Amino acid sequence: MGIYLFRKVVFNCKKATLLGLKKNDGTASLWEELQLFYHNLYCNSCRRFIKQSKEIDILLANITGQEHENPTHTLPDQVKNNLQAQIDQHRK
Amino acid sequence: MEAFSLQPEKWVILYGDYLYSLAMMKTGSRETSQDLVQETFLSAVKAKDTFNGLSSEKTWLTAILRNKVIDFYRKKDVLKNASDYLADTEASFHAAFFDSAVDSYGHWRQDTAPRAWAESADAAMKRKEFYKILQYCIDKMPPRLIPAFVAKYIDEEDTEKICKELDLSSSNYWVMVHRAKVLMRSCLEKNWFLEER
Repeated sequence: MGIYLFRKVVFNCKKATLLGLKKNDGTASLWEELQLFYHNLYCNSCRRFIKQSKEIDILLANITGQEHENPTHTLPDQVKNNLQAQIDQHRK
Repeated sequence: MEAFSLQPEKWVILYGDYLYSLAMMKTGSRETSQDLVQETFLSAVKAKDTFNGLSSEKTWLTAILRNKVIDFYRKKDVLKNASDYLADTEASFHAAFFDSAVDSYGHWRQDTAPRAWAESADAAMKRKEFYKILQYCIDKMPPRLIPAFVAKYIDEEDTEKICKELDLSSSNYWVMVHRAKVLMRSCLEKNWFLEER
């Protein structure tokens, strides 16, 4: 039983990476944090995943600002004129 | 502090493409996105007297669009039967990234384990082309994972609020966010971070 639990925690990278995200979110339980800590003692890949994941978070949080400066998509002019006309109708 | 004011006569020029691009990212459909932008502007102009000037016009419009997108998700199949969807796709997700031999515990597959990156994320952030890759990786994601992923990492809402809005159990939410993140990291690694620039 002890060995089974040990393996389950030490070898399960799918679970460990999920716990890593939860920990970054501040919503992991103490038991979850312990399992993660224990797993990461042995697992380079998951330590790396969690580090890269935090970097990706910063990039993702930046997208909204990027889309404002440099929108990926452009509305057709006709749609724009139409939209502004509708807004003008209601704003008076 | 000076309060923000609204200038509806400039909305389309200032925020049209921006809101449209956000909607495209969240729904993947031109037609839907155009409708959502239209609904956003119309709701906003009708509610302009309730604008309190505490946030900027842009923030206010972005929040209105966000709610429209969530209403759209609710009406669509993307949020329905989350448990069934996750159970049905579990094996293929697992096999794509983790060891799935009978006796195994789900260690990373050798070919998909995270690798060291050739460029830092800080450097990537400053490049315009990087955001194209980021978009590409979002577009490639299974549509069912998008609502939770976008709410958490792009809108940066908190977990409890997202679960309520999207009607997800906390465990389904985490499985979705986790899958999305594993896919996103892998996609960025393949298409950006392993290449020398």
